[in-house]
Amino acid sequence: MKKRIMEKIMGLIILLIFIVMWLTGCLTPVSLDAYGYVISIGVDRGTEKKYYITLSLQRELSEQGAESDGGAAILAAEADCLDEALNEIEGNVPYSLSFSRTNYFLFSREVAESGDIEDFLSLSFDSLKIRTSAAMIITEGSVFEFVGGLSANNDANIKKLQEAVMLDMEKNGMIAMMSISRLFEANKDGSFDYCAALGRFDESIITDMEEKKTESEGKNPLGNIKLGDRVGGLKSFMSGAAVFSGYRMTETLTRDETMYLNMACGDYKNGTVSIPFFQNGEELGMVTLILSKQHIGRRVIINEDGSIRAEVDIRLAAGTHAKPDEANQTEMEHWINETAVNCIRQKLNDVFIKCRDAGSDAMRFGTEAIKLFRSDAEWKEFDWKSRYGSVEAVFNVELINTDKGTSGDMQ
Amino acid sequence: MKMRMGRIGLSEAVCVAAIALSTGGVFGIDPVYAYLGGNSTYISMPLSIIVSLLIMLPVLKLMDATKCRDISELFLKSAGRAGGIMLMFPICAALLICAAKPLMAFAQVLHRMVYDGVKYSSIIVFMFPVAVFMAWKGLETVGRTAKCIAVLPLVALAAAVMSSASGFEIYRLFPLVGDGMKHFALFAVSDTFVFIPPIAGLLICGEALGGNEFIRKAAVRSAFIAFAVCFIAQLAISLSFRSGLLAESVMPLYKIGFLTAKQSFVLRLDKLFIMIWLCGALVSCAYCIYSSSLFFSKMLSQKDVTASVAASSLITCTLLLEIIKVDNAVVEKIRNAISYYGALFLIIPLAAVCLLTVIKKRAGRLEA
Repeated sequence: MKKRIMEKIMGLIILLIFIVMWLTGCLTPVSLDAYGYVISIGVDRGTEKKYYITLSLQRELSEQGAESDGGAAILAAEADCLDEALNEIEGNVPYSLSFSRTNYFLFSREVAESGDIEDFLSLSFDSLKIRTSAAMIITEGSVFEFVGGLSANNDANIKKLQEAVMLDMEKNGMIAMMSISRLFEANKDGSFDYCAALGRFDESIITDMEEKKTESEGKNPLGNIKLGDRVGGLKSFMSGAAVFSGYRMTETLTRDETMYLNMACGDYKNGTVSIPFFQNGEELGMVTLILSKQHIGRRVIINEDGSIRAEVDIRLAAGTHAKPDEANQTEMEHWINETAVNCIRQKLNDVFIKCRDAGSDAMRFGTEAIKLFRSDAEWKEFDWKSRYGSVEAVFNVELINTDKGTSGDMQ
Repeated sequence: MKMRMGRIGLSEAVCVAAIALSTGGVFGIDPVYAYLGGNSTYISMPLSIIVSLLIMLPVLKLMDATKCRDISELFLKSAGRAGGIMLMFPICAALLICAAKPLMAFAQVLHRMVYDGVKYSSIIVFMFPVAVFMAWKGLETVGRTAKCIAVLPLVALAAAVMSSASGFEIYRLFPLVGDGMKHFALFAVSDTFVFIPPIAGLLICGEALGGNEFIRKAAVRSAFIAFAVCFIAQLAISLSFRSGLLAESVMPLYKIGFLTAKQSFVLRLDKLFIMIWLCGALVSCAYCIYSSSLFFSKMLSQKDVTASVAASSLITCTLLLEIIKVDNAVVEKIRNAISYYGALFLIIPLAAVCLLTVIKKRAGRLEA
């Protein structure tokens, strides 16, 4: 009897020790309020040190039930690396910086073109707990201004802006967005080149027009704006794509060109293109085609003589919008199948040549070429990157007229 | 006798073995070695499970033929006490390594990517007692816990794979057999080091399962479940990362959602998934520690398994805590030796036991 009681006491002691051990997980607890969540990390060229690093933090409103989601707070310092900047910044803020929600890395064009991105990103993502799903934006001008432009509007909310960028990408395909992990992947085995979003800051955009908001406040509904002003939204916006060769940015693409890049890569979903409509040599106006992806197939052929040909089959559903009154159904059909197809094909080819001349396989043809190899050793020996300059691309475009069978007069 | 086996049914045995096999195949592999030869683990790993099963089934057949209730009886009958104990050691050691490896990976990921400012050792001390407690309570506790949680890691895996599917790319699978067929076949055989111990665990705990037929059914069913789990998990990993990046990653399954720039609430569930998978790893750890302890106790005719469980737990804990303090070059050498030749340390003793059993049986020197 005494032995059983002793056994039970021993068991309880062991259980107690275990419970105490479990509590060790709470040895260094940090309250959620004590964190400052860094949403984006920006990198400009520094004056005294290598970089000027800007951290953008999401500022939560302390009031419970507040309708707004808060704004942004900016922290910045000059440093030779991120760790050095953090050491300087963290000493001056009343909270710990957390990178677990970092979604964007922003680099100025100057830094991106110098190839210093590789040096900067050699930081330990794991130790800072940064997710490699964070995307990259290259900014024309300084990152500092760009980040400021994101916060210029009183309603600015970085999280919502990020969602808007993604939505924009799906809606019109004019933005290229890739995670940082793809930059590492691209440079690990050289099967493609990275492509980042390109951002711009425009000082002339009017973000606060002092309009009449209530009966007793403000001037009038138009505020202080004049006809022709670019009004509303933010001073910072996405203006296309930055293409890389390795870790170095080598070329920029406009929003239109980015759309064709996405089309060639197979990432395109929906969008619009405007193409001039000619009748008897006379331009009747622009016709807007509403496009949506039906099928995009890609392949690379390596011929026996060593020449490489990339082929992309693009089939898009095309609906016309704002077509000229003078054009009938047959003419439109012919125009879509000939003029529009040729125009899109030409644009695709132009973008391909622009990227190829910049030494960038931004269309990711290497990812198709790798499928032709039986082993890693063969692929490495082939050295795709060195052969990419001689690749020829063929774009087979097919537009399926979705207005077919409907009345010619769509008004 | 305090062997703390109790009785477990077929479903409990299948759950516990399937969890141990799957945990080993997904979280217990050495990424540097496994992904060295390209992205072919989604074929080589499931194939390895089948090879492991094929290695263990003849042992089970001999247990049947010699009317042994568990593998320790077979070892004793075929190799005698001294020989049996010598042949037992590699299997016990492999079970303890299989107990430690997944937890080591979890501790590293939790330390590096989840908790801020918490030491690696604190995380080990936080989670390891749970496994020890289950092992201490015995097989019945481990088996029933396994049955309770078995579905959760599967659901977490399915959710993780589905939420990351937009980042999958077919080209990452190419070249299909990585460094060639020779390396591929080598991986399939050497990876059996991860899968033989959990199946051997079923043979060790055979008495609690109620007969060799149940052991066979449990082994086959758990192997096929693990086959499917490993195939899905490794295929998702291979579709997410090129092999060059995988070789540098501790737990790639945790990171498969890190590829897409598009953020969603599902992608942020990875911290929840890792905790669910950790539950599976703890059950697997408990099972391996208990199996190793039971084998040791039976071979040494001990009447109480708890002393062995305490010793095995201590060894596993030491492995978990001390391995990061050891010089990297030494760890690298040990890791390479285990990855390349580990399977031989298991296959040789098992083959020796089988051979001795057959010889003795033919000579009529084997007691029924």
